[in-house]
Amino acid sequence: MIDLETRLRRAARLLDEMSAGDAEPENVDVVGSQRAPGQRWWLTAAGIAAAAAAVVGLVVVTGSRDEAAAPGTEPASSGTQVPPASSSGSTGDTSTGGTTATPDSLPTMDQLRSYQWMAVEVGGEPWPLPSLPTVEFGAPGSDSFITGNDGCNSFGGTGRLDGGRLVVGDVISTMMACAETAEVVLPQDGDRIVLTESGTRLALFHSGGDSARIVYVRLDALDSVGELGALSGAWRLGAGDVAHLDFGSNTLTLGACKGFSYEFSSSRLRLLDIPTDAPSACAPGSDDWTFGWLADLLVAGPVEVHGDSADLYVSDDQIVLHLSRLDAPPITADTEPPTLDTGQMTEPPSVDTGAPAGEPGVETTAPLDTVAQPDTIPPVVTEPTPPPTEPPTNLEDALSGLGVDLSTAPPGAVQLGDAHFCGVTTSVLPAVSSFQPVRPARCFSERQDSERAVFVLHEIDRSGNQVHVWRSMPGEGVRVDSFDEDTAAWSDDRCNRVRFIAPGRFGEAEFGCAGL
Amino acid sequence: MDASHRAESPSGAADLDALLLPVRRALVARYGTDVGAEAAAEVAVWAVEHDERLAPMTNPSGYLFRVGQTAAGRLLKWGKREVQFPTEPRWDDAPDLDGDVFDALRELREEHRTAVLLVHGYDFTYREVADLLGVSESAVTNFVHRGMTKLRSILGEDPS
Repeated sequence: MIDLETRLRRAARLLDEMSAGDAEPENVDVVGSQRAPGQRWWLTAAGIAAAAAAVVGLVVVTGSRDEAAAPGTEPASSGTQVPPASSSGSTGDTSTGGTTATPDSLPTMDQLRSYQWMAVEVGGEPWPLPSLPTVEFGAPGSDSFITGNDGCNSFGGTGRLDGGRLVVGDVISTMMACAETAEVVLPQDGDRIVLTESGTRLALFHSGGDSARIVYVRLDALDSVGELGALSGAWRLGAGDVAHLDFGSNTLTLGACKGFSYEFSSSRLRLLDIPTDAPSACAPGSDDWTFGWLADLLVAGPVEVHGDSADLYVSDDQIVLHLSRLDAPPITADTEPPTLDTGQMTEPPSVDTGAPAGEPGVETTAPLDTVAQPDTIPPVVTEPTPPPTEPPTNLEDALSGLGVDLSTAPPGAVQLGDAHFCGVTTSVLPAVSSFQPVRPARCFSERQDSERAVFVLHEIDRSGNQVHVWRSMPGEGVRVDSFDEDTAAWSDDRCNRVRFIAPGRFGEAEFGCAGL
Repeated sequence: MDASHRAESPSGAADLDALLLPVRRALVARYGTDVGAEAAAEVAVWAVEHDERLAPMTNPSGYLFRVGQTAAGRLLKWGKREVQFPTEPRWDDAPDLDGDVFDALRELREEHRTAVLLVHGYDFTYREVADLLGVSESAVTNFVHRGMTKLRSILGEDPS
């Protein structure tokens, strides 16, 4: 009999063997397999060279697409013809074509896998944004040999690569309602695959056809200029004025703080050289709250741009921030920082009593329907009115104000002394269940290890008897600590990812949290 | 302890090997042989591409693990992949074991599974796992304890 620790050591060795090779996990049940022991493709000189080649390819493609084409190839970006497979021994159709160029080589699974391919041309015409048909290739024979999006629905299916030809078996697809005019961009059984431009373009030909019906570009080799074109300009985070982002040609403006250099390639946004302190680039006197949390959240986030809207995945993809284009001129350092939406604050409207501005004790409050005209009612001097109650900018105070018993809180739930106040917001908020109206409360964020942000929001749910503290913790999923006011007890739960979007107006927040 | 857990500098293939090995192991433990290995491959490419950025880092493995997490998340989300593990083989010296250790590992939370495999499968120290995962050492202790407790429960092993 062997103990658990021994089984784990043996399990670890098996995982090493299975994952270290140029893995084709066609049958993961077969342990040991035929791989050479210790084969580690990325740890070998060849692996490093391959990785470096991929990098060089990216640089070349970005710099000059023509130069990126292998000798004897024809840039596929011309939108005309891509040659069929012609290597000897191929099972692909070699009788058609009519072009003098030859492809780089017959495609191999290694060239297809580990990449996402995005359609850029269909039927010889550039494929328009925002629909982005994609395809990815997995293990031959598996249910996910081919997966992707046809421009509307996601699909997946079995299959394999037979020489230069695609063999597709059973394909399943989602059944989203699509526009009647929507064109389905889908690889088909029998399609001939040709790779060009050093393997960064993938063209699919009908059997016997001599013109590429679909041309995909490898996402990591996508022209970054084209991507920037989709993202450039001013955006609003969510539905309110929590944050404005303006993507310039070289710099990103966050609220009143500008000058963040960034890069955007392979649909991934990276801020470069983020200062650890409040940025000197912020407008003098401006509130740096935007910088305090948004800059951290934006690090290395994938971005999906859909015309006038975009989804920004941040904090290890655990959070989706919804961006919408801002019609107003972009925020600059010369303008006022964006104001918080204080619509959730409960102060009654103030009435101007006609007294000189700035003089204390000359304002009173009244319900809207009792407001009288200043010229008919003489000013009434009243007792000084306390200033409007600002929401606590300290998380512990905020929770105390909500009646939360902090003394029994789980560790980490409230110990956020340096949590950064994001404001009262209707733009970024969690919900207690999908597609259910929610009431937003206050937003906090916290920097962790000087490089990551913990995103914290809390709210009172619809029944009004619970307070939730949502924490997105890098590497640990999302933790939800809930305080039940009725029982005065805390509970905690976790999920893999919290996803919330405020698409347009309050009450439409979408939230997803696996495990809750 | 396996000396390959560490690397003095990310520059150079040998050092890069040592830097990437624990990252790959952690990613495979967390995301399985399919997604984990692919994410590790992306990490390798990223590491080569950003060697100069890794050089001054005090915890490059931890950073690379985050890179791998993002890659794995994308594979899981867009590729509709699943966490896959092999079937535990029948050992000659213990042919009648209860359950399948991989099935049991799959039932653990990701962080628990990762910590358990790194500590008990690869002899990482708690500190090394903490650095790699970007959590505190006490959190790792907690992950391992909870993970092992659940593993023993699933596999019907005597906790003593």
